[in-house]
Amino acid sequence: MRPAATTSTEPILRLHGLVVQAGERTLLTGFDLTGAAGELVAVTGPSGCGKTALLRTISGLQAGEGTVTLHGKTPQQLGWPHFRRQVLQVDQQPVLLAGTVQENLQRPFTYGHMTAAFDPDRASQLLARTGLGDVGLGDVGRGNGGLGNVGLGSVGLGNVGLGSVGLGSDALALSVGQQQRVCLVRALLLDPAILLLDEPTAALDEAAVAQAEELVTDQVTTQRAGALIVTHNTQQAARWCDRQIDLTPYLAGGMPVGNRETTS
Amino acid sequence: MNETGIIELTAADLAVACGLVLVAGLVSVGLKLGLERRLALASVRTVVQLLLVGYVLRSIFGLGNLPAVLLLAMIMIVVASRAAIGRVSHTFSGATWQAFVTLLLTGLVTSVTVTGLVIKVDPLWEPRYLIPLLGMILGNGLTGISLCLDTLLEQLTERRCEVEMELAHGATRWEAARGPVRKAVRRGMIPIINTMMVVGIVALPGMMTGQILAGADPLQAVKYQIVIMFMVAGGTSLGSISIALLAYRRLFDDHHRLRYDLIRRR
Repeated sequence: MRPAATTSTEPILRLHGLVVQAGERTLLTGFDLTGAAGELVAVTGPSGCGKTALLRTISGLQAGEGTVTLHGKTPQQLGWPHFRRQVLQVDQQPVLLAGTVQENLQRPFTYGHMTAAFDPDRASQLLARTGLGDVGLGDVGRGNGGLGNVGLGSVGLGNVGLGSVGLGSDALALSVGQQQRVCLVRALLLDPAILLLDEPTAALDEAAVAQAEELVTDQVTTQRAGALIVTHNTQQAARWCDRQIDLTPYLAGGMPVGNRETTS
Repeated sequence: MNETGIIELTAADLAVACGLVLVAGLVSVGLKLGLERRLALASVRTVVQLLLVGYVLRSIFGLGNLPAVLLLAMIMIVVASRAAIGRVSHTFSGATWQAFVTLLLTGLVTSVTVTGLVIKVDPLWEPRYLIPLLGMILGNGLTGISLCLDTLLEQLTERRCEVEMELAHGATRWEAARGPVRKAVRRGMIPIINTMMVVGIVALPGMMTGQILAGADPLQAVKYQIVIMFMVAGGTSLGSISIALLAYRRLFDDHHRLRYDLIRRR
């Protein structure tokens, strides 16, 4: 586990009594959490327990019950678009639009309420730090070297002779692992207060995982941000995050227990 | 031929025309297409439905009172909105109602504009003009709005991840929806634009053909046809935009959230 956040734990995000649903079905109940500045929190739990749905409920992309506040303000007070840019959710499956990498990274800066401007230099730097600037480093998935569509399961195939990925690359021609890193960079460029990351390194090989972890940790530390990271990998959770939250006690119908958090 | 230059058709004349359908029936029998029964039923329905409409129109034209005209217009709009929604592959609760509102507004606005400002009939609900014009708008409008709605719902289903990704990065609901909405409205308007491109070259429009057969001067018939084309284009565009915006308001709530749960496949 990384050195405990040497921070005053000013709360950024507060979740209280959150109820997470999937359609008519209730998955999780009574979920409370306080996310502090500079803190990385891992969210673990059995598959299908509602980890992704939890993130979607926090960002308000799906309906739920309970209260969510950012710096003491509700999303309604802040305005949902503004709230979501601050409490930014990154899907497990990378979602990029047709166009170049730069167009994708720039996209959120075209939204009406954005005041910050897109900084191509910073974008290139972040891309390079995820290993995308380097030739073939840390790639998993569809190479252009004849390995074609090897899918997510092939972690470790790494160097298959990919060209370097830059701002001008065609976003949809990238491998899943490369796309996942572009998505991470797109999120980081917005300097959110809280990152909601859903299995952010699932499609990456070891080297790239380390780079992605370091990048997120750096951002969280330097920007005084927080992160909530859904992962099924408890080793990663222990290595990367300040504390872990197991969702099992919050399962609808599950027994509530006294101490639900394991702190570092 | 009577004094207005119209050659009146008798029942015997219609019977001869019916002989042409028999050719189709013979083809079906000869090639074992198995379409004879359907063809017979379709022929009977054509005769019955059109005669019925003829009598209804004649009596409403004769009555000349506003409530009767409005009632007929309402029935036409209800049938058209049901037909429009019946054609889409995805739907949501309230879609038929939205199609009804759309067709009601665009149908009445455009047809009354034409009767009142272009043809200048008095009263402007004069059924001889209003009802056929409304029929034209509804017929084309329902194609437009069903294509538009079908495209919008298909886009929101297929591109759900993209739409939600944009919302997650701080897009307003309009910023996230405008791509699909734009594509849908475009799709709704394309058929009428294509029709306008080739009108008169590939085929003579039915209305114009009818007027010419009924003894009108071709140039007069053409002028009417131009009015009709513009009216239909205007009505279809208005209809596509309205249904797209109404559906957008329903499917994106005040939390700037895509209500994917409201969309049903069928």
